[in-house]
Amino acid sequence: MSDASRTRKDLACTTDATAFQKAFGAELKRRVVDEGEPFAIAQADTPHEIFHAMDIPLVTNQWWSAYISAKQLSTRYFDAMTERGYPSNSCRYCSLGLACTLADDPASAPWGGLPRPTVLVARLTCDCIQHVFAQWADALGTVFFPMEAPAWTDKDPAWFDKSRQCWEQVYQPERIDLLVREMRDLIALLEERTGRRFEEDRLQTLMERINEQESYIDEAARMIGDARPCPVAITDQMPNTMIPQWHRGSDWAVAHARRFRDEVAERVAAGLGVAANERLRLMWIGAGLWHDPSFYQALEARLGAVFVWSMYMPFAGPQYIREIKGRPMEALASRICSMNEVLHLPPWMNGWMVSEAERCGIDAAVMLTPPNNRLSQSGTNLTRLALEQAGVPVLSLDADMVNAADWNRDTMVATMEQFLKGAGLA
Amino acid sequence: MTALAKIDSILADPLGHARAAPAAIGYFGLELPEDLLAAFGTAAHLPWVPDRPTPRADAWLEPSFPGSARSVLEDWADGRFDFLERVLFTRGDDVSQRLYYYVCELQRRGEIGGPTPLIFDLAKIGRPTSLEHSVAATRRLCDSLGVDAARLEQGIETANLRRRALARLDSDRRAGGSLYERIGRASLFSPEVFSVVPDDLPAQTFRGQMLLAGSAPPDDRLHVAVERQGWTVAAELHERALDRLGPELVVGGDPVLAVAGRAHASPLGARSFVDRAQWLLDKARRCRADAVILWLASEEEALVWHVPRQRRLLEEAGIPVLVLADRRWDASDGAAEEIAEFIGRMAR
Repeated sequence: MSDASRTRKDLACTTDATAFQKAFGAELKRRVVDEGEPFAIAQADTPHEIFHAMDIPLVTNQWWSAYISAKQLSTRYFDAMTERGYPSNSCRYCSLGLACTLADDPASAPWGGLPRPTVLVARLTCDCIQHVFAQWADALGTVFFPMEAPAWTDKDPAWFDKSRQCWEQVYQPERIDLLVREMRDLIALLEERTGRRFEEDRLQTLMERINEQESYIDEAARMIGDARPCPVAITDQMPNTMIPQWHRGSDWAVAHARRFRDEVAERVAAGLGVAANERLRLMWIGAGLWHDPSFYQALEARLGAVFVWSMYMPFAGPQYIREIKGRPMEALASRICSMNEVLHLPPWMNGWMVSEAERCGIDAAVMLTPPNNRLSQSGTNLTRLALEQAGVPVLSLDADMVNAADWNRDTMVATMEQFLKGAGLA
Repeated sequence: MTALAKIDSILADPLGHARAAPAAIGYFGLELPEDLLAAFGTAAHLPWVPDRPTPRADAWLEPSFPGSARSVLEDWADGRFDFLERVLFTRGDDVSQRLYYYVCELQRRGEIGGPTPLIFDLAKIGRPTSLEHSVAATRRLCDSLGVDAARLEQGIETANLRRRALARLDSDRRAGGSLYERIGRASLFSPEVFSVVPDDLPAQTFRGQMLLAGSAPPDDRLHVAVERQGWTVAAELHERALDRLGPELVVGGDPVLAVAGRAHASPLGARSFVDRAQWLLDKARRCRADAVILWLASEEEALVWHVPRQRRLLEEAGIPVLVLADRRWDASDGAAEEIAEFIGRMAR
């Protein structure tokens, strides 16, 4: 493993989370590769709860991409795509799994490459994803189940205040209804192809457990926002949110979220901070920098600049917790039907992020704006303007979250330093 | 005024017809049903200006938005569309749907004014759930525009006349392709095009026939580049192609079902589920193309995924293809020179 992927871990639970995920990876490999169990590949913003409730192993595309990326293989596979005639500006974020499959190099691929899944599932949140997933399904010899990402006309910038209880109103009944019907179609396909049965009672229980889990994460996010100094680094925040998120509702995930909350509380009570000399509280907007998490720690050490906020952890409260109201399918649909939209479209993105910057006492924000990726770039300019209007200077970093090819940590750290100096913050 | 002068005058003032009407709507995105637009009365696509500076739009839109969206948003901010009652956007096109949200937000923040934006929530997946969603979306749009069933049937009749006129024109190309590009573009802005196009367009002969596919170019500049080499663009395969309205729409019952069904199943646009490589090959054969230019703007997200197979199928069929991927929308990156070189190479 290279230096780029080595990071300091302040919390004991972080090490346990990554160890669990490693063991889970091995277990998943055993189930789908060695034992040939039916499994699915799905985008992060799809209803994973359906697969969990049916005990169908799930490979999340973003997790798989991060896995490939962490092994420093992204450049190699993207080069293979270019060699196959794909234009070099084609979107990178969601296509690394396809690139790995098309490269067809079992010697280098994690797990020797993925076997044939039962289905691939994606919500059509951009123009490119249906093409990527359809081709990936073809290459793996299976079917693609696309899900609509319909228009959202009730535009409430303060959606996060009402989403737990008033989800019908916030997310619109017809949008929820469409996704519920699509999920029923997906369940029928899964039952037919795997022989496993879906039970709504099981989903109800899972949803209750997820609410418990996300409440712990939400509590931790609030503590981190309130505490001075910042008790937990972004490199601890992300894995302790995301790893349980992949397993949401499981015994381990609920227990881990509780433990994470408790460790955060202990550090807050002890007055422990991330940086020896915390001077700046930063906000990270965009996906995680999967290929070089040490970038964050370089900023802590050199500038006393701490990333107090990244989108995954504070997202748990408003976007995951749902009053179930005896309608678990509808509650689940309300969680999923705008998961991407609230992070990438005005007014939801800017409305939420300005509010979060205020809550966390943010001094400056950094936005990851990957080139050739309309979805990831989407909403960033209006959000930048809104943050700046609220007194938070913003730096846009033109970098990719999975492709390390154009990344230079030292240059990026210097860019950050220059930006903070220019803003009168360093 | 001659027919060709009329077309040029429409392109010189694309909103002239809409401005003269007592009530007009605008639209942005080519997945809005022509039948519904015709049923409303006067509707014009929002025009774009390829080479204009767009300083305000650049501050609001990220680099991945194409030039057409920038130009339109800049004009919106300038108040050029203030006379329109409403502007329709479509969920069937990612650029159009995102621009809808941006416009709504900029209006909310008081940065811009102008007409009320509406979105046509078209769903394209080939399942009953998506079709039903599209039917409901079509009904909602009809209600918003005050279009009842009888008016929609009239709109379908009008749109069918337009389909017939475009099909006749497309199948009987005698002049250079740039003329047909101008006619097709003008048809987005004014229905006068359908009544002024004469049967006796000037016949010309060319040394070769090109199919132009991929992204829709801003205007006829790629056609002109082909014509400069003594060739012509004999057909287009992009969202603004002359056959964009598809075959005539037959109504057997509820006109909303017919219109929504057509929009849901239309192969045009980035979100349709169609074998794009086979479609390209079929089109190249149908128009007897000697060669194909596959031109893809830098902002193109969807069609790039089909380039390898499209290229392979064309090459297997013995049809030369020039792939111009990741190109500047205004074609200022040497596209014309590369086209000249490609055609010159075939002549040798």
